[in-house]
Amino acid sequence: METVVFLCENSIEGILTGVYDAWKEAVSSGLGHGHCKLAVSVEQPELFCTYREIDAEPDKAEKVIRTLRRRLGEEAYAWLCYAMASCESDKAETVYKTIVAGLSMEKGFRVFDKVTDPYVARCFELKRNVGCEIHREVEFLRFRELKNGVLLAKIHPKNDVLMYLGPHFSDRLPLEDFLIYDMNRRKALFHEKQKEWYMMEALELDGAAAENISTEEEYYQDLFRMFCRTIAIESRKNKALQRQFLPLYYRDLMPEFA
Amino acid sequence: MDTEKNQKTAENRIKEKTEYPAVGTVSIAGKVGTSEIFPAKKAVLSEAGSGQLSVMEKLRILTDAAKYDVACTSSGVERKGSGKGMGNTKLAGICHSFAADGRCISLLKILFTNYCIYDCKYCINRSSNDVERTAFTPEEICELTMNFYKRNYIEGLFLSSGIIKDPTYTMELIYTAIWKLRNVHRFEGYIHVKAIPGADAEIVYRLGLLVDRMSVNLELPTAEGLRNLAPNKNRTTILKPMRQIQNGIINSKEEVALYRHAPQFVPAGQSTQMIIGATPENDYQIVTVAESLYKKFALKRVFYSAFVRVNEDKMLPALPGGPPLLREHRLYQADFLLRYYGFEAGELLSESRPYFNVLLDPKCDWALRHLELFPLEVNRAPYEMLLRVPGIGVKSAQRIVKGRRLGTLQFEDLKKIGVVLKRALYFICCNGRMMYRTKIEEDYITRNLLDADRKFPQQTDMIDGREVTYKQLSLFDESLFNKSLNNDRGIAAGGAG
Repeated sequence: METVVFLCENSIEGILTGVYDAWKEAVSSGLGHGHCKLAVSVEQPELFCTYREIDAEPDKAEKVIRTLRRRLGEEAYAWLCYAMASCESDKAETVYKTIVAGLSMEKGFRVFDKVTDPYVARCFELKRNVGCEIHREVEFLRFRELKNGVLLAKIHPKNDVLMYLGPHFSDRLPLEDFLIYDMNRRKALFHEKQKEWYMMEALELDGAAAENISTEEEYYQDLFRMFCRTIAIESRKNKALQRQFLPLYYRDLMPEFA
Repeated sequence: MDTEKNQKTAENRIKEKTEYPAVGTVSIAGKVGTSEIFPAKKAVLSEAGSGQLSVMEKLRILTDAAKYDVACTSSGVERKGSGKGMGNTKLAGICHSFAADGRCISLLKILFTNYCIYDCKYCINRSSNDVERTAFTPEEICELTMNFYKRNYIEGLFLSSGIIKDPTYTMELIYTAIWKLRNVHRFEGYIHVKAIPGADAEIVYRLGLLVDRMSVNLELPTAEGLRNLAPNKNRTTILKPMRQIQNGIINSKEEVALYRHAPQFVPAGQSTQMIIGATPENDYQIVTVAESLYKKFALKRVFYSAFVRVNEDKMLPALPGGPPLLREHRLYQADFLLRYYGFEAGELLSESRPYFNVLLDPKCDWALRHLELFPLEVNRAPYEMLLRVPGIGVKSAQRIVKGRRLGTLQFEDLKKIGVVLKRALYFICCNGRMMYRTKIEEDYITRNLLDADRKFPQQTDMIDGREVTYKQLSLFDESLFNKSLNNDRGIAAGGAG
């Protein structure tokens, strides 16, 4: 019998809906999980495959989430979410097969210890990659103060990490209005003073408004640029080491490298 | 909601914002009136003060004066924001940028002032130097910190100072700035201050309740070195506040255990630093000092700072090859072995072998001298032994121990776990098999380890007209040490991470 490929939406909800449907298909067909695959996009359609496009269904995703939290625990669930934020095209399949591996274990919370399983190992790799980029954005993202007092940061992460910046920055800057804009995915994270943060999709950033910076803004950028230049010790100069820790990819949005 | 709408609501909000959040807190603070806060903001913005240096100039001078201080870490304490101020702290610390020397920029590292009554030979700020001197006001420090922090430039403040008048007076000044930052500006991010040897215990205690980390500089590894190069300092006055901070931390932990909201004293622990290469101590002495600091003073970190010759002084060594960066690098490697890998100083070096191997890291060096323990069966070896294998770090070792409970590990699994096989393969086997056919022989492994790193040529080398074989290379040799110092700057890592 042909393999069934479930094409799901590129989101946690979408992928977990896919997991739900694939699971159902695997059980009802009696052919097992090897019979089903998950994908978020098709680059080269394979032969002898049935493609089934599915829409995200919050109810189904919610059921899967409940099971994952109960059987695999909070940490493994969080790691799966990281993996689903990855930019790699095999993430849906990897996450699906990792969930299969985890739920087949008596102690599901140990799923990521199963390093001998290639899907689990790959899932761990994806999770680590996304985790690293979240950390990098926490380190390297820069706010600019606009005339109206709003702090604006533009980012262009490779993985879909925007959501994971919300808790960190809202805890850190509770009395500020700030906005983080993902230029690659055209979505934004908003935080209003003393309120919960939230996200909005499909937004264009008003270029003129974003450039309307406060009178102090350039002054502080200059100060920081000078600070970074001065703090380096000439006789220890090591640009390669600097590049290793701070990839060029992130520098275009950092005032100290402007 | 579209962006325009968001803009509008933001504008409305900004009207509320004109009520400066600090106003509410000032009455609580008591000590500082509002009039003192607002002019400060203007002062920061006025570039050219009448005859006075601008903040830009001050920042340049006092950053330049602070840059030889090593520690720039923001780790050691996890604290959520209270929701009433600005800032939080992360256990692992966060670096926000990296300078051209590859060292991380985590904190706003500045001196309060570079005026100094002391005349330490190695220090750029010594009283006999003719350098531009200036001092920040507490307000200027607060404004800089808040505005940098808000823009995610920094993780907090690292405030040190030259000694102005006397140690206690200087620490009072630091206290004023930190108090204002915490209580008026409601800053809840990371603060690291220097405790100045010779200051009153009382001010050290009061300051310790406001900051996250305190450090007392050991300056030089031995008391003798200190006598020669820092005539105004002595070992006893340095160790005294170190002990006081240690006891303060212990007491504070007990209090917090009893009363959850008791104020915390230096919650991120204390650190210290010493200068490497200004005095003739060998590596063994330095590592032994570090080990006893960890054991007897419960320090979080000891930092090593390759000596940079900023002053012309006959008491200071000439360094034709630049600062001893490779030596500093080896010391940091050994330091991690002490703190996380269960090594003791005596295992790495000894009286008869007092210097680190220039070509190999201390862990490889140790393993090559203990080949009788290898190869190690990865699927059975105890965790403590896994940690001692070159190429296996703490995280890999933990994952190996967890992973092998669920299945037998193969070499490709180890690779995925993150083991550096090009180093580890000589020391381990999986299910009784080694990865390749290798000899368990010191010369053979040394040659291959060096080759895999591609840092040194395969064939024998000619140095100073002598043919040097790898057997000779593995011994410490002064001329080689200097040579690789010059050639190998690339591998020396940044001071703090």
